Amino acid sequence: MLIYTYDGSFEGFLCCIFEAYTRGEDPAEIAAAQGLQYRIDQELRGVPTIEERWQRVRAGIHHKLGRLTWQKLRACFCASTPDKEMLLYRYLKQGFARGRVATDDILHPDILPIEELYRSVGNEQQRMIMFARFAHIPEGVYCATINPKHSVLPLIMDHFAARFNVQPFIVYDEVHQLAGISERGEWYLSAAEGLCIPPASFDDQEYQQLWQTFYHAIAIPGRRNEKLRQQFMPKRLWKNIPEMHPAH
Amino acid sequence: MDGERKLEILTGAAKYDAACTSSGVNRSALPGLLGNACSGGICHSFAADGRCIALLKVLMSNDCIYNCAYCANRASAEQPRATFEPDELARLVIEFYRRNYIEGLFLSSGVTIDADTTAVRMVQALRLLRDSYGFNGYIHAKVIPGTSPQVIDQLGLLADRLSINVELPSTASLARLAPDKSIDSIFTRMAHLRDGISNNRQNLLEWKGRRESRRSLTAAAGCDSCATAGTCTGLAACRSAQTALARPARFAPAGHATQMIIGASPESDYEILKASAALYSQYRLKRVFYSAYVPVGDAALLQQGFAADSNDITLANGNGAVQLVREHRLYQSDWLLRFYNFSVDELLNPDAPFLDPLLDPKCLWALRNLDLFPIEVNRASFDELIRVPGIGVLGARKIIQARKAAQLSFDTLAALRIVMKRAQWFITCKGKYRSGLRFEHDSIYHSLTSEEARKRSYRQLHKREQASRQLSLFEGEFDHKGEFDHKRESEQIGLLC
Repeated sequence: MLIYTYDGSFEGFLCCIFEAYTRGEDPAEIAAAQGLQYRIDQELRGVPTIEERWQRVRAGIHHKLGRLTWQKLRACFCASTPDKEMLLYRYLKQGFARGRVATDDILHPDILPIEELYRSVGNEQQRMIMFARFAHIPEGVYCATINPKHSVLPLIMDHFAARFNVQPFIVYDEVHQLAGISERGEWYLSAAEGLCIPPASFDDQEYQQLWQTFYHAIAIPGRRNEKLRQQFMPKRLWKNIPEMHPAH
Repeated sequence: MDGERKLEILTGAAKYDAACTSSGVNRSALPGLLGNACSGGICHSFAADGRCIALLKVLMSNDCIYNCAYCANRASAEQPRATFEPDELARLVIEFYRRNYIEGLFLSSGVTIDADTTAVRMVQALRLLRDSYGFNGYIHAKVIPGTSPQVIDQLGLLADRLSINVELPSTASLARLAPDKSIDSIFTRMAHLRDGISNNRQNLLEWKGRRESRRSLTAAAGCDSCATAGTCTGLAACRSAQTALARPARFAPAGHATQMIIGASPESDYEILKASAALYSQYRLKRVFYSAYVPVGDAALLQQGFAADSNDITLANGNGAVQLVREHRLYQSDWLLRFYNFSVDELLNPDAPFLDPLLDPKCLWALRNLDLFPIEVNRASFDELIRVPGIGVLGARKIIQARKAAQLSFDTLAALRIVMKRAQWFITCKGKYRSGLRFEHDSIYHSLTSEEARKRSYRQLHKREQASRQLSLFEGEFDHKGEFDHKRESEQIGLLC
């Protein structure tokens, strides 16, 4: 059983596609080298990440399947689904064989899973854009902690970096241990194992308090609808949403 | 009075305003300015009643001289009054925005002293926000009836969206319940907004044309200094072209909207939707919002609201729950008018002027027009597909995309997330009607409504159980299901609330 291993990056994954394509191989699994459990029947092949190669795959996807499909694949790679590499691999195999006819065939067993995954990642991305809450810490930086189910930080930083270009800020994904750091419209990602965000400034606590006051005053009494609220604002995210904490 | 108490009062006073959308305009972020705007709108929180919170929705002041019978802030109501200082409000917006609590500001006000004085205070706050604090996010400002056109023009250059409430669906009701408001002034100001917006759009188009012609001029004349630096010291023709190049300021780029209160006056759904359709076509509104009437304070006459239809027992008690279902059905119909090419007369008529609380308006229409169904999903056009209950704009697009590759069956339709519970009654797949179903009015009606009725009775049972176990904190639970569907639909179209 042939297993490709790669460095865990999207570029690395694209190099696996290149590898399979140029060698005419059909790997049984593609997995990040880190954390891989080796089994006796597996033949492992470490696939190197080489810019010239992933650039060619990238150009191929753009040319054959279009920019929107490229973005879709990029987003799906952020999913925390363990078999995302194989889903993407099968999708691309169809796409390279049949072109846009394949990507339009949204009910095909190799295409539908990516459509579903894209929907799920897109929803999570949107939720983080809605619910990330920044707190002003005494050092003058705004910090948000998020706990998304997919690793969508790379997909939301453009939005926040443009919008908050007048304030330096950090978005910390505590689930995937990743931080996005931004200043003056630019941003970069950094591995952030166990990042400890200092407590909010005194001023900030005051604004949190005011926000809670607003939040409670805006609801119409007698029309409470807990089910609807949780439909839109899932409970698993409440821990990082200050208005959902009891008043202090 | 401390800031927190003031915020509490002025938020509570604004909570019945229906509009909380941040949609309708795309504005890129600019270096040095805080914020941007996305035309799809972004929600930031959801209140305990399940409504989305996108904007800091407050009144500038709730100290109102008018005495409109339906309004919580009417002069005769006994309640605490407060007024924001412009700077106090602007800072609140900035601090909330910086923390990603909100998408911007929704600012309305009670009428203090007179309309212009009130509006000028609002202009002051917005100007502080835009000019002093460099705020580039979304602003929705309410136009107080009777505000002079000059002040409206100032508001329009600061806000993304303006709105003037028609308040009630007919002039007769307005005269009766809002005696201080001049009906003429509402509609002349609305026309003023319409013209201001379309003139501004025209100016922008002309400006774009001038910019293009300057580009071709400089390209032809070889004047490349301005192409790079933006200022030209070269050709005289280019310089004169440049003086005419200042981009016109945008006037209410997200358009204008209005709101009417449902259930405080006796109009039928047919009359309400007719009024909306007229507002959309005559005043080119972006949205009409419907606000289910909540009896507030001591308005004894209105305590119960008006029954929508005295023959209809479910609507006749006029309590909050019933009005909410009605509000929801009106929103669904409004959606059908704007995105599904329906006309009011297709949905309702003077002989059957009310929507069915148990059935969404598209189902209601389809059941009245069964001769148009069932349609074959593998052949139907987009326009035909979107008229099928259970198939929305997104669903129709997916069907058209997917059937290019393969014939669709009932099973694969479900994988496209079509609401089969409703759609299955109105379609055929590969020429076949779904086995086990009978294409017949009564069985369809029974099946589509019994489900809701079942849910409702379940909820009532559940509520009774709860009530028997503990003191209920909240009166008047209502039909959540419908509300959610509406939200989901709007989400699909990218216009979430």
